[in-house]
Amino acid sequence: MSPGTVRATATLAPDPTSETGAVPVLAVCAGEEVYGFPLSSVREILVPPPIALVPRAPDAVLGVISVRGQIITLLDLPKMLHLELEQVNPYGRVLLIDNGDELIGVAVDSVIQVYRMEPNHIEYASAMSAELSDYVVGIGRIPARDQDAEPEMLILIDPVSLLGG
Amino acid sequence: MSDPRDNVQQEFLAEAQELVEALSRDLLLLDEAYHRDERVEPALINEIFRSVHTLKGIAGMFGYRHVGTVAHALEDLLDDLRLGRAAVGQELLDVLFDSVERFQRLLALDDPQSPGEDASVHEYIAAIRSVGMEPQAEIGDPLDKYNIEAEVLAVLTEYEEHRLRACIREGLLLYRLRAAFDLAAIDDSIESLRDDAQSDAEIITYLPSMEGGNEDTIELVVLLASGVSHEELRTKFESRYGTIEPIEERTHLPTLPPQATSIPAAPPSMRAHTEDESAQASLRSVADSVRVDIRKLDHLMNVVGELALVRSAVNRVVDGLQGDSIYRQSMMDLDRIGRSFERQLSELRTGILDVRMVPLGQVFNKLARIVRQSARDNDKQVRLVVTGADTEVDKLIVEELTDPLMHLVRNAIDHGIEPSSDRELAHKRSEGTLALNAYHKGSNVVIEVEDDGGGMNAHKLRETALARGLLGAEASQELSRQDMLNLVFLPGLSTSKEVTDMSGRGVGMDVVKTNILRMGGMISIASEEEIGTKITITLPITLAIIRTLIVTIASRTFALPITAVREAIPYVPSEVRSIQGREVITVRGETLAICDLARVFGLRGPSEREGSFVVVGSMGNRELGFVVDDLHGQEDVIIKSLGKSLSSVRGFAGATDIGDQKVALVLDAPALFAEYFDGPEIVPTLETRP
Amino acid sequence: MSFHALIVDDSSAVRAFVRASLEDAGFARVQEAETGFEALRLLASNTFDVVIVDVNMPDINGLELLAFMKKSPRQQAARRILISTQVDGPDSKRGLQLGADAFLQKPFEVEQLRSLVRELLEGVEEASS
Repeated sequence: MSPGTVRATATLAPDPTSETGAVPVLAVCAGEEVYGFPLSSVREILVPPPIALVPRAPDAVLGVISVRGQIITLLDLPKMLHLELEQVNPYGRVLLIDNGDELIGVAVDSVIQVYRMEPNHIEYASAMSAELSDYVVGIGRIPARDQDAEPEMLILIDPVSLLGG
Repeated sequence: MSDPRDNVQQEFLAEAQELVEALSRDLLLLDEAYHRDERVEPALINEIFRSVHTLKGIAGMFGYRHVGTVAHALEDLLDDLRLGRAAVGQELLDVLFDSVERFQRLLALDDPQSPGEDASVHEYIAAIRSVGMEPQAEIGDPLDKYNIEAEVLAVLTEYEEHRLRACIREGLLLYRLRAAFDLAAIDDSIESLRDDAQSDAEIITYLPSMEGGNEDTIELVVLLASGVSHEELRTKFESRYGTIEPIEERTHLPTLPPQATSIPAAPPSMRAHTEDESAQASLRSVADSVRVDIRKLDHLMNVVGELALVRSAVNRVVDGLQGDSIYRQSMMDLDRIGRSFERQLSELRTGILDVRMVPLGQVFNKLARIVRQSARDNDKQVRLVVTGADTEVDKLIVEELTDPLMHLVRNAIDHGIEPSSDRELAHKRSEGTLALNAYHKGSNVVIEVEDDGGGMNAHKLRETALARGLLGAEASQELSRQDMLNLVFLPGLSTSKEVTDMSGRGVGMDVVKTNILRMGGMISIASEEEIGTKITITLPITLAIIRTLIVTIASRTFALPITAVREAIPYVPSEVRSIQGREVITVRGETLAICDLARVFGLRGPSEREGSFVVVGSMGNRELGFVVDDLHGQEDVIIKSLGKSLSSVRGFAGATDIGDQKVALVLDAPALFAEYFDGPEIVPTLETRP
Repeated sequence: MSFHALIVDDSSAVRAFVRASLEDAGFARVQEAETGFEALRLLASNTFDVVIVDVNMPDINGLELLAFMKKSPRQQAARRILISTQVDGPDSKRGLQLGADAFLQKPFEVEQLRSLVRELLEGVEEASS
């Protein structure tokens, strides 16, 4: 993925088997919110290995981890989005996301599942606050995990924005 | 069926690149010979022709149209040159030199047939054609002079025939050397024959004969031309190779025509190597090599790293079984096997690292062309002296070094070396000298760029820095002469528009320094007015594996490269004094500045427990003590780089696995030194991300 | 086909190209020689069905190799293809007299090589080397 491409379309690779152009999205839980990553950008899901702190790195960087000999930067997603929420530590899982240049680790509480999201059910970020739209492609809706509850909001993240691009 | 060309594309690009590099080296030799009025070896021109000819051939086959067209035009020109239809001159040389950059650009194109390049290619070809040829009158066929068997003439290529004629015209005599060679070792034998023959004869061609050969040996008839007497040749060759007989001249000759003016009166002497030639030899050396993709090596290093972790895991299992005496014998065996494994692993690691090493000559070659170009652009006379081109360094370092060195070389010629008229007034040689020197020193490599130009005016540097607001008035008073010279590394010290104002150096020394620091090296400058300037760069030989000292800082593990460490001593907080806002201690009577890394890294508050050791770091002539909590011995680690995402974080050279999937950051000593002594950098947060 | 081929050319890219073209077409054994000397070694200890030689090589050139092959009993049956940059030049004329069966002009296409080889080997039994 090259920098400078229009974000919304570039990161949403439609499911080739779908008639409507639905995009497969991996939904995860982090700090009380639900986030989504285009499945095409998710390389791996891991049990969190030991984290080495990197002094003087940007706030949202938790540190680095080693995956099969490769050193990977680990991010705290809510911190990156400046949402004033406490991330629960220890993290349940680490996602390895391809941001176009390298693999970035994203620490999350838990992985929910993969949803097929219809592009016309996604409210795109340009309509929202400028700050958020740096990282967020848009907001989508997924069925509630508790029965009888309202559908939940899913914050769709642009992988290219993760310290890269 | 897939097009075989797709798989072979890489092979083509690699070979093409090698050919262009060989072309560049040979052109420099040609240039040198021409400017020194020396005889240009026909073998050299033929080599240049061959490189271009081969390039033309393969470019055509792999669809690189532009490369092929340019090579074709050059080939025609070079053919004229080698067959004696044209002569070497300044214009011709310039046209030839131009080809190197053009080829490199054309090879790098995404679309090798791109019509966008048509105009530029046409223009160049016109330039090639205009250099043209001066036809020489061919009077009578020199070959008529000799009784050469038709059989032999039938297998000579056009070029070999031409060389034969040229030698006869020069008055050399022809000989036939019959020698039998062992097929298995024939390459070496031929090479030693070539070396032996070099000073006395020119080898025209080797003809295999079927007489006297069998499964293991072959007889060759070597056709030679020489000005040396038959007796001398016999003494030299007959004992080692075989019989050498002159080829008979025809008894009745057609009337010899008067000699054309281009023929020298006496046979030219084949020179023995001069001093300059052996210096050039280091530029010329082509290693017998295998092309390796450095990513493959990185992968191999990762595998070695993983193997080391496996070994640790096995160790732990062995330790776990410690108690049970039933297994004692097996455990001892396992331990012994483990140590042997570790030795082999270490060998493997060393071996892989060794493969990454390439000679600096590669970079020096490029620089030689830049020197030539810059000298011409600036209308200055510059002589380049290169030593230590075969000093080996990690391939990645070589790649990173090219830009900084190019910069330094251009600066030296643009601003350092004076025009010949000025030099003469100063009683210097009218030709300036630029010296490139490289050598190993411990686990570092040192590269020096030295010129005998006008040197730098330290005071003027200070004035400029003051005027630009880069230096406070008070601070400027306390500068030593060396400090003033070091000002040249400050960003913003000069712009290309104000080049003439500058005391000696131009744009971008700050960039050069940043690059060197980033590689884990140091750069220093020494200069004397009227005498010259010398820039010294020190770099670790390899970026990949380093012996480190493992330390803990605020309960976290870090690794510090041992090359930066002089010693470690206990830390006694009560002995710390403060001088001019800096904390110092006294070690054996000398004052040592100290730096509490836990505080610098924001890992500890000012009121918390202090560290227990001071690791005395040493870089160049500066020393700094790092306060740490604990020391954990030495480890050889493979430094992996932090991702691009963390490239703006200062102070860390990378990270490394220390077992159990744990990671320790590797401290970047040069950066920490620079930060402490030269001022802190701005630490970026996500907000300030560009 | 399990014909045995030898490519002699000082360019590694050309050798790789010929090898890929022939292997893809079913040639089981393709050997390479970078110099005339290496070729002499290989010719002394192997029997080839097809030998492809570049005329312009330093030291022992393609013509000299052909001359050698002409006198070598072992390679009598081998088909000889001479690669040169000018099919109708003096080098080729000499090649013909030295026993070349066919010429290929550089640059050549994969198919040209393959069909030329197929043509030359028509009706030839596979060599038992």
